[in-house]
Amino acid sequence: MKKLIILIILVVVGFNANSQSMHGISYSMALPVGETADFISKYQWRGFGLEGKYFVDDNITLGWQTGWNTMYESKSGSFTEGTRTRTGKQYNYLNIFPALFTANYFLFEDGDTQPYFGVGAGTYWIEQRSQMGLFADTNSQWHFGFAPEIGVLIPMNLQSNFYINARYNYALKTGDSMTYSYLTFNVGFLWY
Amino acid sequence: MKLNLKHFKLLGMTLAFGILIAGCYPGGPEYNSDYSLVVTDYDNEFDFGSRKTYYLPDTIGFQTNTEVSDAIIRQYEELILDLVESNMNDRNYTRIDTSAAEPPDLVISVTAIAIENSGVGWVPGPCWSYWCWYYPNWYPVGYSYNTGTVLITMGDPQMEIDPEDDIIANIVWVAGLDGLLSSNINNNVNGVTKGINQAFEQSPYIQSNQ
Repeated sequence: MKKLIILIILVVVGFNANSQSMHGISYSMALPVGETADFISKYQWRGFGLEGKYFVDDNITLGWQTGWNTMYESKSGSFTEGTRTRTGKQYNYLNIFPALFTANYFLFEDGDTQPYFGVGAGTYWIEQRSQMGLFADTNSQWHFGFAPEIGVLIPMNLQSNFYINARYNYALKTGDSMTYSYLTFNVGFLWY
Repeated sequence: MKLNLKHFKLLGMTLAFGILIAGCYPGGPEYNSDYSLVVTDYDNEFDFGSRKTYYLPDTIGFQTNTEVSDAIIRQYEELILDLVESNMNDRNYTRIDTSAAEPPDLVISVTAIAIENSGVGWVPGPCWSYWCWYYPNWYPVGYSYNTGTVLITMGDPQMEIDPEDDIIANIVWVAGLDGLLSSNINNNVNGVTKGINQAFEQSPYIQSNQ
């Protein structure tokens, strides 16, 4: 982990010193899919993202992305595993913190709208918690993962851009945890 | 790396977002009933249909770590035993007592557990002076809550236990009702009634065909 933090600092400082860069913040919504949707299925409205993009070419940026998505759903009913059945209210929570290196390709060098696509790869820290009755089961793990994304950047003036993107996050199985996958829809601003 | 206006703007917005997200962090259980839990488990090799009679004692066991007498539980004893009996009778079983000529096919026992949980938390008090920003005026607040559990176990008196097996008891079905004990008796009566009926409802395999 220490090596990862040092690497992130080197990338941020290095690119800041030598190239044009953008930093941004976004409001992030999430939709769990796959196995994650069995745990929490509802669309989630709580989250935010931070990212930096550093131009290494007219169309290509390298950078980083992090943030926080918190997911929650309560379910009432009976839940059966093998011969055991539990009935009550189940409160499920996920807290997800990605720390990704990203690479983006912008289709146009300039223009009113600049569509782009890219991919991120790195780690996810995920805390899964399920409470039923007076008992809670918590599992916190680091995961390796990746996140392809597509988005559109809309320049507002010489310094500021509005942007919107969709990212498919896939955090690989670690230990006894599940494989986590979810879509995030992000709306925010990037500044030069 | 020099910090400029852009970085402060980003930092400020991050803090604002963080506070906003923390403010609307999802909730959880709020009412006593939200903590209610009914758990059942059974031996899936046991043939419940082949049995007919059962023995249910007139009293329930009681365990607690509180100072109070078992009167707090005894007031629910008749209700609990009546509910178990009516559910068993609905499944075509017949209750017998110790005077019966034949031993019962099933034996049921009920145990109630009441546990008092208490402790002390520290909360910040009101701040009336400049100095308490540095030395907050914390004061203790005591808390206490009682949890109640009803355990119903069904045993097979005919089962022979091989000491070499992993099986340590001849229990074929167990039900646990767990939740917060309310100071309102009606709430506890409703909770126990719903819980016991739910335990049988989620155990459809308990059905005599004799």
